[in-house]
Amino acid sequence: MKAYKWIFPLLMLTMVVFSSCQDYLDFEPENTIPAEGFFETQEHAEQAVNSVYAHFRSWEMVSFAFIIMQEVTSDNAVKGSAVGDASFINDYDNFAFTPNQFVLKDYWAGRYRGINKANQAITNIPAITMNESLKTRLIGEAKFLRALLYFDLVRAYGDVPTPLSVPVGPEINFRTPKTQVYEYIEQDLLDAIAVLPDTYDAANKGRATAGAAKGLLAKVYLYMERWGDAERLATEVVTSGNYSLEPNFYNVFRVAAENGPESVFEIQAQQIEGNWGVSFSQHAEVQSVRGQWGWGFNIPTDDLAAAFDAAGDQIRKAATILYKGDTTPDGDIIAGVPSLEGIEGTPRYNGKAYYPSSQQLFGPYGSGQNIRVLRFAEILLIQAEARIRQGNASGAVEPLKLVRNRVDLPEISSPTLDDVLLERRLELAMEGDRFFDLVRTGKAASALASKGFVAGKHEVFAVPQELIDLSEGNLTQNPGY
Amino acid sequence: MKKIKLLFILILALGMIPAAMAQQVRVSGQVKNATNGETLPGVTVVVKGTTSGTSTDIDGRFSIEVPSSAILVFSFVGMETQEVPVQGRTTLNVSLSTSASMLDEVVVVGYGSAKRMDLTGSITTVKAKDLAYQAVANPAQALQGKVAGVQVTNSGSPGSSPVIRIRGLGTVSSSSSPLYVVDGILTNDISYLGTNDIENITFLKDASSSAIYGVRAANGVIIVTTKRSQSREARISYSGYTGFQKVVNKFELAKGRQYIDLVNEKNQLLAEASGSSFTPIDPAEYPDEIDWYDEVLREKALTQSHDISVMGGSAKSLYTFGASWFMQEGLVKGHDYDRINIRSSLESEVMKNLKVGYSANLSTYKFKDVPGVFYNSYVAPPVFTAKLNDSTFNPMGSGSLGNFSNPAAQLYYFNSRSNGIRIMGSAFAELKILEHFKLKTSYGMDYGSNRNRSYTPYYVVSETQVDTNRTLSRSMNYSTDGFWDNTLTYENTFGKHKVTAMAGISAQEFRNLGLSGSRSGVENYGDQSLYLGFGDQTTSNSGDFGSKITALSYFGRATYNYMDKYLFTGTLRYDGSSVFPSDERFDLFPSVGLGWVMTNEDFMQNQSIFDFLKLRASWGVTGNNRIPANIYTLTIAKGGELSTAFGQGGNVVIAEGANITSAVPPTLRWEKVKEFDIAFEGLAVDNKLSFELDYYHRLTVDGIFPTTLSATAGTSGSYLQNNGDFLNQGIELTLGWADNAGDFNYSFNTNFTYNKNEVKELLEGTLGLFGGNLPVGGFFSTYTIVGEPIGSYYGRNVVGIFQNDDEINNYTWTNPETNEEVLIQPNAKPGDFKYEDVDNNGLIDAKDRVFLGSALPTYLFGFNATLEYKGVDFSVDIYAQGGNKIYNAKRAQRLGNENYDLDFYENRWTGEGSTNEYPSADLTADNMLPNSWYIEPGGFVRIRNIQVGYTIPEKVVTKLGIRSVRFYVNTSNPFTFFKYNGFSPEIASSSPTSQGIDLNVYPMSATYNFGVNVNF
Repeated sequence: MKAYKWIFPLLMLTMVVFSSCQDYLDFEPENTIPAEGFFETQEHAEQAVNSVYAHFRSWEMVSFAFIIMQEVTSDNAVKGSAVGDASFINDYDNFAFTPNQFVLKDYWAGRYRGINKANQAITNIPAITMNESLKTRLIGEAKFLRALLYFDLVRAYGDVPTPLSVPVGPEINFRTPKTQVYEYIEQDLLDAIAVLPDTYDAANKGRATAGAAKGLLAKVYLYMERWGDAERLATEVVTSGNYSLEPNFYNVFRVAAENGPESVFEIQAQQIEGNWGVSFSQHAEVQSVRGQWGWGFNIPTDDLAAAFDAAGDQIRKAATILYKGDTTPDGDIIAGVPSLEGIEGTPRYNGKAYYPSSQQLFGPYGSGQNIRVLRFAEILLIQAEARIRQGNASGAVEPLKLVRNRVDLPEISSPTLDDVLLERRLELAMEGDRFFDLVRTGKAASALASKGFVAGKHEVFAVPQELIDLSEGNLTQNPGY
Repeated sequence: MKKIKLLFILILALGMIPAAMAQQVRVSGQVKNATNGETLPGVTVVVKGTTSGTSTDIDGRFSIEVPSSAILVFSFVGMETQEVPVQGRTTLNVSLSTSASMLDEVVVVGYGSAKRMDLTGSITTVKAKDLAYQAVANPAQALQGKVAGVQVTNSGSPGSSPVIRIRGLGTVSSSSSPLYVVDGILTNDISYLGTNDIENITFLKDASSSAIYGVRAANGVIIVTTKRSQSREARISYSGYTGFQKVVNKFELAKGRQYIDLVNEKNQLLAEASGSSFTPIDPAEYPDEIDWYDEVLREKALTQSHDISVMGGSAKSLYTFGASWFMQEGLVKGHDYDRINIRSSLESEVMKNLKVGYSANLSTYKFKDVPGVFYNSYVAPPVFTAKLNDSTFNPMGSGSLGNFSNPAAQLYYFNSRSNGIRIMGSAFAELKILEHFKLKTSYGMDYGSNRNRSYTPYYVVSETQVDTNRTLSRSMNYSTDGFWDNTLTYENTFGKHKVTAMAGISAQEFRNLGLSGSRSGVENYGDQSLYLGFGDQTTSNSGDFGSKITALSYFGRATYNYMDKYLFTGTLRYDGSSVFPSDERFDLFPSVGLGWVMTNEDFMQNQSIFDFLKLRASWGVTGNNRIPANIYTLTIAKGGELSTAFGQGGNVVIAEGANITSAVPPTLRWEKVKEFDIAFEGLAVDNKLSFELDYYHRLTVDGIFPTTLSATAGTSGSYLQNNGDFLNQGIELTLGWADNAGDFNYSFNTNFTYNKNEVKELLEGTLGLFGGNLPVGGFFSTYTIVGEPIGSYYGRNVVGIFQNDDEINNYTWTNPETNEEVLIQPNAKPGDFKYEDVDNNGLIDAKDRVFLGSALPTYLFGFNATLEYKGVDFSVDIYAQGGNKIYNAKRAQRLGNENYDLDFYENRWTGEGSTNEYPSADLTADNMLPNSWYIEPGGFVRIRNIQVGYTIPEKVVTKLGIRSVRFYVNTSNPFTFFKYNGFSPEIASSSPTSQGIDLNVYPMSATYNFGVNVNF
């Protein structure tokens, strides 16, 4: 009977230990920052918007998907690199890609990930108690960035889903008509123009300004063929006094000129030792000299070189196309592999993605180089084009002259639309606009016919097949694919 | 909580029924094992026809007051029961002989044990002798082919855990591996145990057996019992082996000129298609040839194991000590695994009714890792020497053929080593209350810690294979998993009624924590200089992680046995786990099992075929909580990748970023398995034939299944929800025959399993799950959808190879509306795959994908034969599986001029009429899409082991003071027969939707070893 003395205390002990069973299983998950506590302070608002800027450095935004879909598709560039290396890129050079080709999804997903980040900020920041003017500015910045992302999508795919807030709903499985997408972009940029400052203090240089939003909207109006609006906004930027051309064209693309007078908007990139995340971007690495610094993709064509030569444009040619054997003004000798796929003769590289080896510090090669999105030179060309489109050729003389004089080319006294479009090609070559420009101006079918471009089909890319599958067919495919 | 209290009180009340008392004499004595003379503790001694009795103590002694005319029944598991009339004697010494019948064998079940005869569920035990001779780092690796219904897939990597599936694949969530219970401690991994540490391994296959471990039993339960002393007599034993492993079935690649021809063919086809010019590579530029596998693989990899164990006891205690050393070289140069295990246990009767004890197993390991050289060895152009001279690695043409890493250099410059400790220990106290109750409390702790050091030295092999940062990374992590179990057991016999009951509570807390850091600029002056402090402070990087999971469970079991004819087992478990949202945390897992021992019925008494025949049926529910902790909590992403820097020149400021980048499910419940099992088992032909035939029906309900999120949402790719029902149905047959002819003893055992896997249902609105993502191209190669097995291959159907342009131009489709004729594959060129236009719409697109088979085998087969004659023994194990397919994905991972395998070289399309089976060397673009050509049969037949042993006659060794000595030679996996074009048909993948996808696996090896066992 002695044993009974043991059992009850033991049972009691057991009961006591487990009496608060709910507490035993109830605790905040380890090693997480629950989203519940986020979007509550000013700091959170700033962090959320910063993350949208950071997103633009990612692989899908500025590396393969970017060079493949925005430049290799054009007459300016070919795949390059070694024969057979990443040969799927040739599918874009030849317009042979199918809806399953993964670059299509990379490009799409990368931009919508950015849109999610922007939408998080735009949806959640209004409820935060914080400095009101900063709040307004941050939302404006997020809208500018969202507009930039939708501008890529609408140009690449035409009609696209347009989630504008979080959480997303069924709208993500339906395509918004292209004209409506452009209206959303316009609204975002108008909102941004209304609240963004013209300049920032030194520590915030690089954030979106009102000038950047106006400049981007001017460009968007070109695509919407609202020439008057395009001219008006471009002119506002030109006359704002905040921008001027960098005298030396080569220097425009070097670190010293970043966020300088010609910069309207740039994706910020830095090499900060020990901080791999902040230093990470492969925009320059994928294009740099193969066998010397990088992978050697996105290679300027002889067609582009010939266009420079025909225009007598040696300054921009030298800065845009770096040939094997050249010595750069920064003292690098371009060496690398003896041949590149798709290139007859001397290997050459995109000079605008060149990063002087003396500046390489940490991270992927050239990751310290800001990626130029909108330059003052382009604003001048938008102004010129918009004026010509409205029959005001003489109004185009001055902006065109500024751009041409910088590279020692003479003024054109009565410029035509083709003069401006050629100028755009030469000024903006390898910066990701050529394919979209050819489509916009209706010249793609003729300029790219030899590459396999089919009119009525290739003006827009295919919607990634996986997304059509996931939408149960609600997301439709572009014609011809 | 109230229910549990009631249960306890009820059980207590039952125990208080007073035992009948009568005219008594006191009988005492000792019980011994008739075979070896050892004393037997724990023998049950009861008065025949009553419930009163006792059991022998640690010295095998008993003392009991009985009527002088009583008959005492001595019974002990594994021994023949003996009845001895008292006949007035006061001293009775009894010797029990070993039972020939497996029915008396004691089997561990969850939180207790039972006689095999009494079982109502499907439970199979593998004994130490079937494991110990195999030269494996992880005892689980030795289980292939041993048990019906259990599929073991080994990867060749030393120390790695195999993928084990019990009765098919019933989940697509992160973990499909079974639960291991080592001496009562629940764990996911037994790689720390040596095969010599183990007494036996028991598989609880059906849900009624495993439901007592409801919490995470859905993938089946494997109970591991480590070695324990059974008697106080001291015994010392040594067992050891030494041997080597050798690559078998080496897979040949194209070499030298063969490769140049393939690349030229490919590039010419590509150039023709794009209309560009093409200059073939001049083979004279690449005069060398190499098989890169030869550069990275060892010719022979050594392995050895030594184990000493000491067991015995003193007056009131039993002890076990053991120590072992195991080492295994991997097949890859520099791949080394080394482990020392120390185990000890002690059990003592400190008071009359109180037993306390502990057991502990300490394991320390060292591991030198190697990089993923198999991919590089497969793809690297085989036209270079590994080195230019004695000290310089070949830069592989400096990019002339593409950016390839020199695999030999990759291996040489790789420096990563790990070491760690795992301690699994538990202590218990067991109090006997009255005669029929046992109250047991135990606390177990599973502690593991790992350290890793990886160093990348300065090297420049080529422009792309270069690292000048001298980066040192270190990480340290540990985990603790604590269990507190309390059980109360009741056992009694009332005449023809035998009853047991058990109730318990268990609490578990798991925590882990890890720290890591790295710096560049660490100069290498030898291992002693590899410390972060010697690196460049500005490159310093650090990180950490941690998690916590808790679980709380209430459980009980009752069994009832009427006259050894009718058997009943019922269990109930109420489980809570912190990984689920608070309103879905607890769930109930019941089970019931019934058994009918037909041979104990009167109508079976006159037959002589069956010595034992039992029909049993069971049903039960188990759960799976093996999902990442707290995945329903939406969290923030933060860090450098989300941060940017503003400012310019000297005024650059990092702007920290953070955001919500993921999505979480609205709620999440337990994934449950409901299983029905019906079986016949028995013995026949004078106990020579044993058989067991099971049919099972395992239905996973509320299966945790990812909901794929559209990339348009901009968040994570998917999240988990309770979307699916999966069904595994199958038949298991086990047959054994054991007999002797004079001194010649022989036994044969065979098992066969048939399993059918199917996704039964998906919640409305749930899309099928694409999986098997291929690295190049990002294509999905599997699709999981209703009506097909989990992770079925999904792709285009190849109907042939385009031989010429005419064939492409004739492969047309006529639009029924417009009568317009269109080319089905307008972009094709001769040598490309000709795909079937399944949906007949004139296009080859994603809708033309069809199911191409599954990686899940439909049948498994195991066979063992053991022959023994006068000390010489011979055994052979065979394993086979079939019905499964392999995705030969390594052939299609092409970005450029990757190498090909020899089979492809020999069979490729080289021009019109050459072949209609293999495509041209251009495996890019549409030829890279998942399709039927990449799917190959995955069945194989393997000789698992062949062993010959010799036991020196007892009379020879006893003179030397030795009990027994046995020598043996063994070979494991010497022959495997398969059709698949790869190193091994065993593709171990733990991800249910990416099964059997071969992206260059660890090669297969045969092991040859010599061993000796000595008992003192």
